[in-house]
Formats: sequence, C-alpha cells, structure tokens
Amino acid sequence: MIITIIEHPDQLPIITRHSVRHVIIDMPGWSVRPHRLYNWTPNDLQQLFQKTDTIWVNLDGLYTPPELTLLAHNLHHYEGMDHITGFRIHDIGLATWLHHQFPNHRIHLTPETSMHHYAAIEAAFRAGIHGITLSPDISYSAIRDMCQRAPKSWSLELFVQGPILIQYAHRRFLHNLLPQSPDTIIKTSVTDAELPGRLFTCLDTPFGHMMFAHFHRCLAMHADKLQAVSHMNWLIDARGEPEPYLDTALTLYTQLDSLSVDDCIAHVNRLAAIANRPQKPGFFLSNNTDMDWRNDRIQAGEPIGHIIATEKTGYTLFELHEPLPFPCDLVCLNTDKTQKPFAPTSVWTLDDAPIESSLPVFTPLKCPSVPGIQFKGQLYRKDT
Amino acid sequence: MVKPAIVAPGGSLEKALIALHFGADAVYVGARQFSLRKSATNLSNNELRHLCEHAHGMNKRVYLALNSFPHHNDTPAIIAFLNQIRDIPLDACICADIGMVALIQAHTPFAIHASTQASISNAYSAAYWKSIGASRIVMARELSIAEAGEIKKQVGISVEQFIHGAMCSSFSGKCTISNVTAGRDSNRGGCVQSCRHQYTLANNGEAYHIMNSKDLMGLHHIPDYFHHHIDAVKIEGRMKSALYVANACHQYRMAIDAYAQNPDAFNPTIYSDPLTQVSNRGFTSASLDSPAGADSIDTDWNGYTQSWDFMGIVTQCYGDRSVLTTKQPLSATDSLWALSPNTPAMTPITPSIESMTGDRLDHVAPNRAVWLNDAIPAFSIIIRK
Repeated sequence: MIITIIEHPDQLPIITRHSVRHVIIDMPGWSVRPHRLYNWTPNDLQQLFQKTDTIWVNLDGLYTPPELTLLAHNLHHYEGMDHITGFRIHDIGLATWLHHQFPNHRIHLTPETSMHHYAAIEAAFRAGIHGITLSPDISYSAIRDMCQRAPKSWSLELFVQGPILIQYAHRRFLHNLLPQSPDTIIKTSVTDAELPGRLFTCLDTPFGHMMFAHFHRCLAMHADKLQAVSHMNWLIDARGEPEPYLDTALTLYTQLDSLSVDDCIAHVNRLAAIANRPQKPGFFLSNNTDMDWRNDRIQAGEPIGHIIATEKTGYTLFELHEPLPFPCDLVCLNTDKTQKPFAPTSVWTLDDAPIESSLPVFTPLKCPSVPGIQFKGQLYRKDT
Repeated sequence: MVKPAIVAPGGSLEKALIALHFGADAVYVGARQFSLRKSATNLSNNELRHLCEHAHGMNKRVYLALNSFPHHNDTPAIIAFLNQIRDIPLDACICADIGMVALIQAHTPFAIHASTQASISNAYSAAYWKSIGASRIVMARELSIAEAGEIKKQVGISVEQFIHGAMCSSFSGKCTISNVTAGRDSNRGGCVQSCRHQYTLANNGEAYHIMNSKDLMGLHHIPDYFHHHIDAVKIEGRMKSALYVANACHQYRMAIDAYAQNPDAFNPTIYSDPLTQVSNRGFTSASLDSPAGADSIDTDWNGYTQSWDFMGIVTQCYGDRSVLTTKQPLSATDSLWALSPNTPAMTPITPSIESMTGDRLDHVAPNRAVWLNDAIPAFSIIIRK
C-alpha cells in the first residue's frame, strides 16, 4: 500500500491517476512543516474523501503549551473532522489526549519519532498507537528482523521516497536573519562551509526550523529488498517539490514490480533532476554509524585502574578500582591504543608509606616510572 | 523554602567527585556504553559503584545517563550491560527512548528519569512518561520555567530543568545532521556539532553561523526556579573541564543557598561574573522566560571566551603539602589561585613546587604530579588569572 502527502487540491488528479487511495495532508496551525500554507476546507476534504480510502493529518510537532492550546482550539473548531481517518503524530504523549478527544480516529507515529528497535516499537503499540513509520536511520536487515517478529496486526510503514528531515528546532533561525511576518514560511538552500557542494534545504515555519539532508531517500533501486518487506506500507513524501516530482515518484513506486532496470534508473534520474538532489538509499542498505558506536574501550573489557600522572625519570602515579594482591601483573592501554606491561615491584602512597601486601582502591599510588606508560592510560588485568 | 537540587555533570570519576565536593546534590554520569557522550572518559562499572558509595556517604545521588537512541542490533549488548550493572546502587537511569525504558525495567530495579533528549514539551507528554514509570522529567529546553512548573502541577511529577551550559540549537534528540554528513550518530554519542558550522544562504549569498546557540545561564532566574517549585536544576557539560564543573557547581551552590537564606538580599551578579571567566560561547537565558529569539544565537561567532586558565587539580593534601596534577605548563612565577570546596572566595597561592622525588622545580609540564608546599584541600582547582 502506498501513502503519500499532498499539499494542495491541485494534486488530487495526480494521485487519482496513480490509484493512490491513502493520503496525508498538512494544515496551517496544526502541522509544523508544510512547504505551502493551504487551509483545507471541509469541502476540499469532502472531495478528497470521495477519491481516497484514508485521509490523515500531520500533527507532527513537539508542541509547547501555548502551541498545544492553539492546536486544541483548531481541532475542536474544524468542521471536516469526520472525513479524517487519523493523525500522524511525532510526540507519543499526544496519543492519550487524541484518543480521548477523538476516539474514532487512528494514531500513527511519524518517522521522526525515532523508532529504531523492537522494544521501542512494542512500547509504542502498548501505548495505543495504531501504526508506525520506522526511522530512516535503520537498515534493511534490522527492518526485516523486526517485521518477522512483529504481530500481523501491527501496521508498520517504510519511508521510501523524499527529503529526509535531519533537524527540527523550535528556534526560527531563518526568520532571525530574514525577518518577515511571523506567519510567513521561508525556504532556502544552504551550504555548510565545511562541506562545500552539498545543498541542504532549510524551511522556517511558524513552528520552527527544519533542515533536510543534501540527498533524497530513494529506495526504488532496491526492489528486491522492498519485496521482502512488502507487507509494509510505503510512504512517499514529495512536499516542497514541483508536481512532476510527485507524479514521477508515484509512477516509479506503483509500477516498481513491472519496470525494467533501465526504466527504473530513468525515473530515478528524473527525480534527481527535478529536485536537484542526489537520490540515495541513505541508511537503508547499511548504517555505518553502528560501527562508530562500537567502542574500543568496551571491547577491551572492564578497566581496573588508570594512570593519573607520569614522569619520565621519576614516578608514575596510578589508581586502582579493584583491590589487588601485590605484586601484580597488569597491562596499560594507552590513549594512542598502544599496550605496555605495567608490573610495578615497589609501590608507595603519595606520602611515601610503602605498600607491601595488597593495593588499596581509589587511592593515588606511586611507583617508579614505567617506560611507555601514558597519562590517562587504562589498566587491565593481563589475561583480558 | 525548598531548594532545587543541583544536578551536575560527571564526565569522569574525578569530575563527578569534584562536582559533589563543590556542592552538587547529584551527579549524572555515563557508563562506557550507551550514553550520549561517547568521547567523554565516562565511568567503568567499578568506578560507578565507587561513586555511588561515595555520593551516598555524602547523602547525594548518582544518575546514570542511558539517554541514547539505540538501534535494533544494540539490544543484546544493552541487555548484557544492564545485567552487569543491576546490583550497583544507582539512584536512577536517565532515558530518552521508550524502548530503553522497557529494557531497564525488565532487567534492573532502577528508577527512571526522562531525559531532555525526549524533548518533553507539554503536560500530555509528561503524563505519558509518568504512565510508563518515569519518576522525574528533565524538561525540554524549549520550555520556560513557568511552563515547567505548571506541568509539574498538572501531572504531579518531579521536574528538572537546565540552568547552565551549552545547548543544542534544535530540539534535543531531534537532530541527525551528523548522521548524514559525518557518518556519526548524533543520538548515539557521535554528534560533530554541525550546528556550530557556518552556512551560506542561497537567498542572499551571505554566510552566517545560523544556528550557533549561545550557552545557557539561568543564574538570574534562580528566584523563578524557587517560585515555580522546580525540583532540580541541571548543569550541562560532561565533556567540559574539571574547572568548568567546579566553578559552575560552586557558584550555583552559593547562589541557591544565598537566595534561600535571604531572597530580598539576593544579588546574582556576584555569582554570574565568575561563570563568565570560564570558556563559553557567550550567554543567553534561552527560553527560561520566553521563547528563545535571535539574541540566543551568535551568528558571527569567532571563538570561545575565557579569562581563567585551568592549571591543575589538587588530588591529595598531606599536612602542609598537597599533590597537584598539572593540566598545562606551569611556572613558579605564575599568579595562581585555588578554587576550593566549601571556600567562598578563591585563595592566592605561592607556587613553591617540588617533584615527587623532592627536587625544587621552576617549570612543570602538563600531566605531571608535583608537590605544592601549601595546604590546599583535595579537589581544589588551580587556575591562573
């Protein structure tokens, strides 16, 4: 099932042409990241309702108390609520309130809710959530594993195409620099002085600042992997792009099973040209930040002490975290990752009381200078 | 008058102990895994246990930050880690991820504090976290003190709010710029601080540090924290120096105690001036009073400001001599001062320095231990003005 976001009634013919029956809309004063301010009237929703199966509204903010008051007012005074299937929320805390206020509406978590692992997803469904769009930061293997474990009743969704939101701030950075009416939406591309050539889109709305990745997420070239998780819904987000982008994206994903590789490439290239952004799988294939997360110090096991200070021709000062019989045979893992043996034969407290049997914990001790030992080195048992 | 507790950063065991001795009521620390400050020294399990024993002996608390957003493949290691630490007498774990909460509850007896990384910004969100077992909420940076106090009243939960230190420009936990630009996960301890970079706008071709937040200083708002019954105030900075930690704890301890003793005579400037002497990016009260505006961003930023140099830490005091571990090159002719626990004003010291073998020294390199022929209390910070 494909679900997409439409920004204006003018886009209705596009989704109808592609037989897309599930749509999401943004509403001014409700949704935090519309690129176009269009206030969907109940009449608009009536027309949309006739052409679709479900209509969702983005309530995708982390709302402060005054914003929430405004949102509650807007929701209660909107006459088209009967046509709305449910809400897409970012703040899971809103679920209870929305359930209470609108018991017939469904609740779905947006990709920005940071649903990265099974325990988090399980906790969200326990809170009464009806569906979740998984974070774009997790890779295919984790998605597949979670899908295999998930009950069939869970509605899980995969963000397959569109700009990736990489920052959401309450402060209005662009509005600070380019003052306009508070209701005005400001949009521009920016380049990072340290990463020349990459164009990041920034969007400033009454709810804050959003920054998007320099590439668009595009999973179309990985149809084999998408088929393995084919029971998931596919989310296509074309907000901020001209209509041909939405049209091309819907063509690509509705026909993905039947398109030749060359046709698929042609469509992806067209998306790249329209958006002026590379189309990439992002972290879908693998997430190398998982490797950065692994820590050398963890792999070395639990340190039992550390070096406080060193003198080349005097003393080495150290401290232990576990009581040890003396003499002892240790290894020092230096900050430059070199390893040196550390097996002092004479040890004193700093006021020169000799230690003869066991070494006390969390007490600075000194021993004759040990070559190659560095300040902040970590001490380990030799057998680890 | 109930004082808000001071919750201070402990980037290492040494810094955590310094925070406690300079007046913090609690410290938050990272273990070697699953905290958001991967580059901090952090604490081994043995160090964590020792810190808890030391803090509890002072009637103070230790909170373990497990406030990253782990990925699916991290789960087995998290469970193994939780089983390793379940017997350490921690006072709470600080979490941002609801799945992490579930894992902690399944494998340990620890209380849960909701991290500011969860960006809890309204009463419904706070109530949800309470419903899943959180006993305290560290409020989103985007809230005012009055709003935090109102949420506490509505939800009936302990609240903690930041009072000092560096700030994310975005909602905490809602930035993944580092992930896509540097291959480092900002929500798993790898943030490269892209928000500090200079960006050129296509609109006008101008380059600015468009989202470079100034540092938070809430010292002048201490009366508001009292008035709105905020349970705890938090100092940011597990990556910061021992000088920063000692000075921030010292000034806020004295300021909060002074206000509690005599609100009418409270003069915040006495305490805020020393805070400006240690490395900072300029200060803002951010959203403590009203939503942070343009003046909370330093678009033309060109470096840190500081006027004190951090020279070393006194690790032990034996009679009339003390052991100093140096952090910078130090000379016997330097104008040195000691910032000591339980001593309101800094005291000048005459640097008479000897090596550990008793040789008189005129100069000392960094990362050395030397004798100072002066009785200076342990945990004192030595600075050069």
